[in-house]
Amino acid sequence: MKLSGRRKLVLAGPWLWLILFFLAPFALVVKISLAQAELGVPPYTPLLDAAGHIQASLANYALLFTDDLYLRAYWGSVRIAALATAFALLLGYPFAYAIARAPASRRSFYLLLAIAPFWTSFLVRIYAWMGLLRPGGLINTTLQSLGLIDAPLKLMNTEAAAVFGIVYAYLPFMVLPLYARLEKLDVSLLEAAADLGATPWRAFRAVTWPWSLPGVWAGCLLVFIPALGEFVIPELLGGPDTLMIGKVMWSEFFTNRDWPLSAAITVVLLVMLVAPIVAFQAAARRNEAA
Amino acid sequence: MKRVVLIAGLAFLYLPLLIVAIYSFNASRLVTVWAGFSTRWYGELFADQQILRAAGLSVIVAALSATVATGLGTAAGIALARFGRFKGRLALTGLLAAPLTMPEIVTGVSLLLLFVAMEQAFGFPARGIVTLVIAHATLGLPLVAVIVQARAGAQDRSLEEAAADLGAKPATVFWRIVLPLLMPAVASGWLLAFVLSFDDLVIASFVTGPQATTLPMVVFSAIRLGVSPKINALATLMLAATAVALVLAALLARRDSARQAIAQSTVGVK
Amino acid sequence: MSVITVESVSKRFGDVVAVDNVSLDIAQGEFVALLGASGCGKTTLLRLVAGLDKPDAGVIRIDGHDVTGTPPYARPINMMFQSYALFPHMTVAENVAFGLKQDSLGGEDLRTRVDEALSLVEMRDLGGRKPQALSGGQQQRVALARCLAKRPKALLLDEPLAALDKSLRERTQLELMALRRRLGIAFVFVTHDQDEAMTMATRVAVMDKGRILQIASPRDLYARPASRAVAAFFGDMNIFDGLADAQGVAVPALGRRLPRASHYPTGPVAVAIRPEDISLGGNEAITVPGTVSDVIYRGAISTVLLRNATGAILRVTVNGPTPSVGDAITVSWAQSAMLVLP
Repeated sequence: MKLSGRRKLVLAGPWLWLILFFLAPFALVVKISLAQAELGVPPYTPLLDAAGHIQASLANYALLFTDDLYLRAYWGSVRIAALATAFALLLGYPFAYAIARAPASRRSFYLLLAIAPFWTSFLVRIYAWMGLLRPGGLINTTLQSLGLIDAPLKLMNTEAAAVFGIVYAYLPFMVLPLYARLEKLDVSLLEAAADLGATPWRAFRAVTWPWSLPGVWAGCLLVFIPALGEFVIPELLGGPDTLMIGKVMWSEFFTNRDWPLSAAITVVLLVMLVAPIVAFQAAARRNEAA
Repeated sequence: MKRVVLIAGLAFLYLPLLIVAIYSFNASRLVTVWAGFSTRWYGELFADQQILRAAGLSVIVAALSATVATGLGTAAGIALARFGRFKGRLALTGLLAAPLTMPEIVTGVSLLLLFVAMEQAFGFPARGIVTLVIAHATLGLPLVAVIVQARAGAQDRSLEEAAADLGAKPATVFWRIVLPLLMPAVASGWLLAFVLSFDDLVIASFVTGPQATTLPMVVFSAIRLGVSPKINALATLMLAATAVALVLAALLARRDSARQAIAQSTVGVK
Repeated sequence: MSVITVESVSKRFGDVVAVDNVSLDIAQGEFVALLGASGCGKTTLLRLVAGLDKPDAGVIRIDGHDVTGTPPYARPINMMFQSYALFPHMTVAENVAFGLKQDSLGGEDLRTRVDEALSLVEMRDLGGRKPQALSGGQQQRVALARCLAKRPKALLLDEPLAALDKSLRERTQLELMALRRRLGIAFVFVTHDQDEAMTMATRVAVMDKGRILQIASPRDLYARPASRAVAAFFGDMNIFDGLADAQGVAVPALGRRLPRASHYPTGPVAVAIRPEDISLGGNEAITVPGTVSDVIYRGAISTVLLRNATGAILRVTVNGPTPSVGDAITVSWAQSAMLVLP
């Protein structure tokens, strides 16, 4: 369809903005990942040296794949993000199901309640768990005063705490697509299954679960993708022993001021994200079509 | 059973926040011992110039970036809902979905590198408020677009046809009919973009300059050092502020379709 | 003189031909119904006249002027939408004033015209309300007033009564008819309800698959449908396939040959007989014996279903005592009651 001049003008704004401030920067990230760190402003070598020769090197990438700190950090991110995604699904599924089966008049209110925490400050939500998990925190003091434990448990600064924090912070992302899918499930299908002699568990496996799969996929990807690059949660809850690539990138950037290496870390992270993001967009399109 | 799950789920989400709020009124400096009700920490909070300055900056950045995001996002949302299957529609949809799913460190570092390159080439923009506003507007734009698109798509087309039939030219139809009817969605989009900006730590840390420290950056460096009653008080105020903004957005978007749009757009955020 | 002229207009949406080479002439003061099942193209035709869709071929004239390329906002006619399309962010009075303001009317003139239009539909007292606060019937009146305030040369109405409940619909039918007589302008309305079309319209255009099958006064349409499709549109008509030649019409379902009359077409035809034109007993010229298979009681009248030897079912309207199921009876009708259609 051809657009009129006025309509082209309407579209030009968002297009130019997104190209300039979202797409173009990725090219710069790739470019700078090929440079070397140096003292100065900006703290990296130019692409062209004084003689006009191209100064590009893959040294940063070589480092990423030889120094096992980075490999372990990428692996740690994948493992923690995957674990958190699995737990979020385990918690989010029954929650979404309960909302979807609530009386129609109250559904959208419950949904809003489930999603509202997402809109409250991310830091505040993580901070709340710091208060609960730390050695002198509410969970430990409560358990101690009940006499269940003698010494405080090490709850904070563990990988488990990081996983837990991600589950808590991203649960709304899991609940929302699951709810959207489950809400559209025709209840009479379950009634028919029951009428035909299926136990609730078999009816769930035969009807509800297959129906909800697109929502499961969308929810898992929505948790997994941002969790993979997460920095704040492993930093605050995971402690020094939790290794995730976001933390490593942050310290390379802010502490070591090695911008080219941080850029290389980002490029590799982006490459890892291509598959899940493409899968997510395909899933979203399928959901829209359904 | 379903009720139990529902209540357990909501308790899981809200109890930790409630505890923070309760302890912000604790008279004791020891954050775990209850020593009576007090508003002392709020007093200290309002005497802290650094926090007040940071909060002021965050409000300015959030308001400006939400405004830019709303202007551009409304245009994109209307285009997606109303311009039919134009060339590049699919690409625009994909491009709009991307900033909302990208990990923040990726967006943060790439924007910073852009700003540094621009500053080298044109001497503009200096890192600080301007770069913060641009970065946050980029984040808010897709959010506003999704909300406006949902509302514009659900709007009864016959209203515009009726206006044209009654003699209104296309520009009049847009300003007198289309836009006023979209206003609730536009306003809730602005509010949500504001919240998104106000809440951001990671991207702001990358793109800001030495003079501009936002509230989340102050909070982050404080809580790295541990839990404190003053931060409890600040956290409680931030919770209250987002609660107000959310209730406002929900009221503006009273219609179910818009409420669902907020919910759906949440999926894409972060 | 005709106020709206449609000349060989066609409109397709993708592969679907919505309006197929339609011509139509509407004179000032007429009340024309476009009647057809959903998807027959009647609403598209109305939208083409209003200018909301552009025809692929053909010419549309209003008052003799070619308006085919004219945008809707420059056409001197108005349309009432099925959903009424009242602007929810404006009051009733603001809704009515909207169209007038587009003509740069303001001040005292504007107020007078709004008042006038609202008085016409007896809604003057509710000018300050928002449309959502009105009942369906009131909304319909406001939509009507909003159109009429512009003093259009003709009024187009898309299913004007579809959103009203039955009792209100009948009253509104009468009001619309009175209003049209009073204003003297042409009303063109779209409906799928044959009773509505027959009650209100001075002429009815029966549409199917994007074409006008027949356009005639309700009386003529009922008495002399031009084709089997038109006949099938009106009620419980008994319709049978037949083959006409110089000698007469062979109707296999009735198991007999019917005598030939001069104005019959030849070749495959449809034979139609109205249930109320058939009487019990063999008093009329054409008789058919059979068994009563069902009796449907409908208060003042009943419908008797008769199955004949070939298994065909005849519907007969009976005014009085009815036979019982299983009775062997004979029914008959006059030669003149029978329609032979192409």
